[in-house]
Amino acid sequence: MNLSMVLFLIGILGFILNRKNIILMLISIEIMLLAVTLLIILSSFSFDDILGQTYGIYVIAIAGAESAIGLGILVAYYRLRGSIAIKS
Amino acid sequence: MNTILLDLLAFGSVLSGILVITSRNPIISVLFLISVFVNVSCYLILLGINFIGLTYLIIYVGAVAILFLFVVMMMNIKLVELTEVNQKGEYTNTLPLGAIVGSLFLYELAFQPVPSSVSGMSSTIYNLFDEINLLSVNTSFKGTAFNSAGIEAYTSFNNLWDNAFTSFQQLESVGSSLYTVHMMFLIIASMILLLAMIGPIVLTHKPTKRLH
Amino acid sequence: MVLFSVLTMIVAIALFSLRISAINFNRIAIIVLIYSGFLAYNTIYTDLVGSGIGVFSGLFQITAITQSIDVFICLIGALVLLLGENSTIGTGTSLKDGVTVKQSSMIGKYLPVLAEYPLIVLFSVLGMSSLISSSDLVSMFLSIELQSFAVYILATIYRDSESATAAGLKYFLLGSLSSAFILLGSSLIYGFTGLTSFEGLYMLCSTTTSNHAIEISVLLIVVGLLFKVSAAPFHNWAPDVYDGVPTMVMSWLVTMPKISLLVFILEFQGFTQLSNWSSWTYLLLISSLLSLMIGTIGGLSQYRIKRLLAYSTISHVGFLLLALAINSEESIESFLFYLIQYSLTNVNVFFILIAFGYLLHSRGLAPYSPVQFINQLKGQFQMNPLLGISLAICLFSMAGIPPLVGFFGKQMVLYSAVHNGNFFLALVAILTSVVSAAYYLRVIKVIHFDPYTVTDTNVVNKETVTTSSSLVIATLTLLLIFFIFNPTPLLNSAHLITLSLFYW
Repeated sequence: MNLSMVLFLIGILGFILNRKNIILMLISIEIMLLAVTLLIILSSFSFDDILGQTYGIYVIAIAGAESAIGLGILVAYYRLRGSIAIKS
Repeated sequence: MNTILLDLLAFGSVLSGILVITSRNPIISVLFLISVFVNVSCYLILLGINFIGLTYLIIYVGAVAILFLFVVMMMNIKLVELTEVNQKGEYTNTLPLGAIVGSLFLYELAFQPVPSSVSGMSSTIYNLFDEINLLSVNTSFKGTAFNSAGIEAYTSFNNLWDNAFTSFQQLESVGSSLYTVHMMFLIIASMILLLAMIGPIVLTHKPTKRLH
Repeated sequence: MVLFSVLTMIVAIALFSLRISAINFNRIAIIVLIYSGFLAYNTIYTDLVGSGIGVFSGLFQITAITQSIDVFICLIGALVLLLGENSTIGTGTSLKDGVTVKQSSMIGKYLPVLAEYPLIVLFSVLGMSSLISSSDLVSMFLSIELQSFAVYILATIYRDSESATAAGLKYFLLGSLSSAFILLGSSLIYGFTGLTSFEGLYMLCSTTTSNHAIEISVLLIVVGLLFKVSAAPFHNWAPDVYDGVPTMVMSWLVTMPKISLLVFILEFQGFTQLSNWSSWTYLLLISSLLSLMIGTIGGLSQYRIKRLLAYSTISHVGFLLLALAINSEESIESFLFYLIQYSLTNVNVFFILIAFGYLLHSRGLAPYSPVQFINQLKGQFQMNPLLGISLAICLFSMAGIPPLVGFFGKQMVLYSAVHNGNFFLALVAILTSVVSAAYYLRVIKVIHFDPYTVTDTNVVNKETVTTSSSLVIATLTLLLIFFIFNPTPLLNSAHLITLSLFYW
């Protein structure tokens, strides 16, 4: 569980303290979702409970869908602007 | 020492995570993201949850990271604008806030005394490495006992005792719950995936001639 | 019903979009939503449903409140979709180039309705109606994601506009962050207790002493939900996002997700707030206080009307959270009543704004997206007096002036707050209502009392507002005015739903 909390923290820090580009925000969202899925699956492994693995599979699917939609919006944004840098 | 491989993988994933968010080039960030995924996937496989671990590898690395890589390549990010970031004090003004928030977060959630129901997990890990058998799910540890005749006898305890009656493969058990009890989740998740398919098409395709 | 219509529409759009114009898809979606509302209305059997039926093996639950709010969501959805009618008005003529030009080419720059817009709206309605009836952590997460994804796509669906895509990107990033928080909270609950269903959580929590870990996890879930509702202090994305998207989409973004998320917070509170635990409703109280203050103070300095409406939304959400935090019968009744009348008033304001924008555009006075600055509405009273009066009535109702509906909503919330002992919050609520009336009155002043500048005189066609939108505006405005003469349908239904929540 410590591992997943540390990974979630890395994801949040990457999301907030980001001055480079917007791709990094999307990557941080993926890391956050990965950390949470790891927590769910490890908890289900220790409880011998099948619900956790089912939950984990759904979260993986949703994370994939979210990244697809996010990248679609980013591409639509990029087509009009031409750059994805964050102006400081 | 028993958990050296797991600790290495955990450390590797955290290190890759840090390198993801501190890399300058977004392509290097995506490559370190792939490294995070691979590390976590190996961690899961090592624990014995082989189906989910392999699913991570297939879905996250094979689909999500490749999608990221495509988009990053398409963005045509010029390295000129990357080096414009203030190199000297790039992190000094945000690092204290990150340290404070991070330490509060970790204090509250991470390094707490866990309830006893969760702490059983670490003993499983130790048991796994007493008899290193990385490819099977059944684990066992040996104990010694003396029976009443004073003869040393080995007794072996199997963690997964109900395997003696029937055994489900991991995929079977997930499937049996996925399609019967929790099937509504499947239906909603399928609508989400349908939306994720239609959404980017709506957002990015060139409109053909339509009536208005 | 909504699911089948979604599937049918996908195929229909793909195959028939050359023959069926996009506005017809809009109308089909409206009919589908009205029919779904009717089907949901058929299942409101309060005495048969009792304290709730768990369907799909306990993953969802049907109570009286879920079905009633389902009907309401479908009806409001159908109403908001009617906004698309404004974009294709009948033919008119203009003396441009001395040739009679068909109407649709003259408003070629006006936002047309895309054929996919009602489709994504139907996805969002599907997510909303499954959110309010979800009774499990996993189904809550899946429904929130379905609804949120559809709304992110809606925000960027007009992708030729720079501000819309920027707003959509910002909305997506912050919405995903809040979804990650919700997911973290639910996974911590699962990790600490091994349960995902709300009923199991309630049973566990009511038999043990308070556990610090479960409280933190529930708090995380509520923080994520408050993020999505744009309550302060998590409100920063709301004015920027609502300002960037086109007005037609903004009306969906402002009204609909709030209904489902606030009703879900109501049900969540029923499951997780227990008397022997330190309650997390303190967070709702703090958030309501901050929302009221920030919504009024922030709105005072705006000169763009959409931002002003965003800040007014934040202050209304403050009222709703105050009603939610005091968990008594009269406060939940006032919450439902306030939600219903506030949504109707908000939809009416958007109808009027778009009608104004269309009228301004037909005179060549407004650029791409209709009304953006308050000054554009200068003196419209001379141009179309009825619209001006309707907007004045709606804004007065939002400010809470008797005898309009808004006053009764606020009065019920404040009465239950005072009854419960939250004197300070009631005082703050009254003071902020008075201050927020200032910026509503400024809009009314600009419309009615500023001089009307006529710039373009070579546009001959006197465009009038469409029949459908003028009908809707008239109906809603009359509802606001004449509520005081017949309050029983709305008040009684709110009362009965609340009683079924508390006493079964």
